[in-house]
Amino acid sequence: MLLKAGPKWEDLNKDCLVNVVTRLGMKSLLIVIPFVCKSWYRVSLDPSCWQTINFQEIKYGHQSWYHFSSAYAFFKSIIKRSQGNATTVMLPTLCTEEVLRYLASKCPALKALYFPSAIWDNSSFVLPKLICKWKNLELLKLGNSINMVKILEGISLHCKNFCQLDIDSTAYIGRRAAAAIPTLLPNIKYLNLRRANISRTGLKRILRGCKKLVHLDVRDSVGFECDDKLLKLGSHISNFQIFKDDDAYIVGFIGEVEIYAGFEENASET
Amino acid sequence: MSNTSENPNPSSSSAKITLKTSDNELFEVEEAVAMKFCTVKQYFEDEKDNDVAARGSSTVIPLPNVHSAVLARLISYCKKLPQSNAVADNHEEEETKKKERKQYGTPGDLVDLISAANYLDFKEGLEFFNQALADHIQNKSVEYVRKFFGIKGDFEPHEEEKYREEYAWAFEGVDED
Repeated sequence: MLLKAGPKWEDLNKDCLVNVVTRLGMKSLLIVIPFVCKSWYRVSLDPSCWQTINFQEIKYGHQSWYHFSSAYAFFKSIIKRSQGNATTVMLPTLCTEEVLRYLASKCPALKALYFPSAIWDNSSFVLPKLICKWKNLELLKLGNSINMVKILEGISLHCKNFCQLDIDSTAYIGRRAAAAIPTLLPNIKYLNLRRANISRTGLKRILRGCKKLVHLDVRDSVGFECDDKLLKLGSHISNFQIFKDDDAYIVGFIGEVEIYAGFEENASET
Repeated sequence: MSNTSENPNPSSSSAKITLKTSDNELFEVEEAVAMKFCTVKQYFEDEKDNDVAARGSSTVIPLPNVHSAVLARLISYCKKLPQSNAVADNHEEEETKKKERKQYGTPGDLVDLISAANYLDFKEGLEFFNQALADHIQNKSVEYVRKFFGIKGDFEPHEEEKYREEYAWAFEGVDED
């Protein structure tokens, strides 16, 4: 130890301890930290520990530490802990309308909302009605493109600071949805359509209409072929990702990208 | 230890600032390093005298909450900041950084470093040491955490049981009752 007397945990500033324990994730915050000692127990209940709530940490198949039937009660109790301070929430795969409604009523300060990647997930059906509760929303990640136009309408009406939209996992972005992006979110800065299915016309509209884009990711997307014309249209975007990172040669063979998509995950991250 | 105690010679090329620790040691540090500590920076702004170069080491800034052993460690961390602060963008880099964080001593050291970094409002340092401490307790059991940090559990058995009950749904075999 640096000091002879030795430090006392109680002397550590509470904000510092909060900062440390929030790095450990939800599971530690629930079943380790509270039982270390009384002061750590109190820290684990501090709303500032629950500003970021990542329900996606809970994996299917590891249901031993929570039960399907009590899932709603569990989600509610966690959301309650933030006492309205939660700014980032990653929704669980089990997300229901009920959970979403509860979140909307309790966490008006939300800035970032992540839906799980799931084509069948239908909790986003109710989303258009709830968007108006989150005036500070800046980021939305959708797991599919269900109801997308209505959701974007809500965003354009209520969320003045909105700047990032991510749509994940082979979502099909139809003509109306593609047109809605530049029409309803002309000021969007970050758009992630990786692996989505979007037509060339739709992509062109986005490139023409969203002049403030600094990041556009359409890697592994299908529905269009990349050419100089598209690249030129996107030349205002400082981070325009349209090829696979490592295999630039794939240009012109976009149709094949789909086949490689499974291997892409690790390859492009290194 | 890199402190130059009671060094009255300010004749080096870059501007220096003298910091005085809780145990009355004097540290002469480069301005660039000292300005990483927002508390020190604020001191100068409050004095409305940013001309550090002219006054140089004649100004002594007292840091009554920081011990010399801790300050020496913070300064040495500051000097290698550029490499350590780059954002790790892949797994390998993250592992390297994890190793680097491990070198920063025992949990006790880290508590001292965090408290000092917090007092000095030294953001990069706070981020680094907080993560280093978190690394130590990531994925560890309650018993391990207690033992590792020398914390005595102060729950009465019945209290602990009561608290655990609150979390009953989170444990295996909840529906036993």
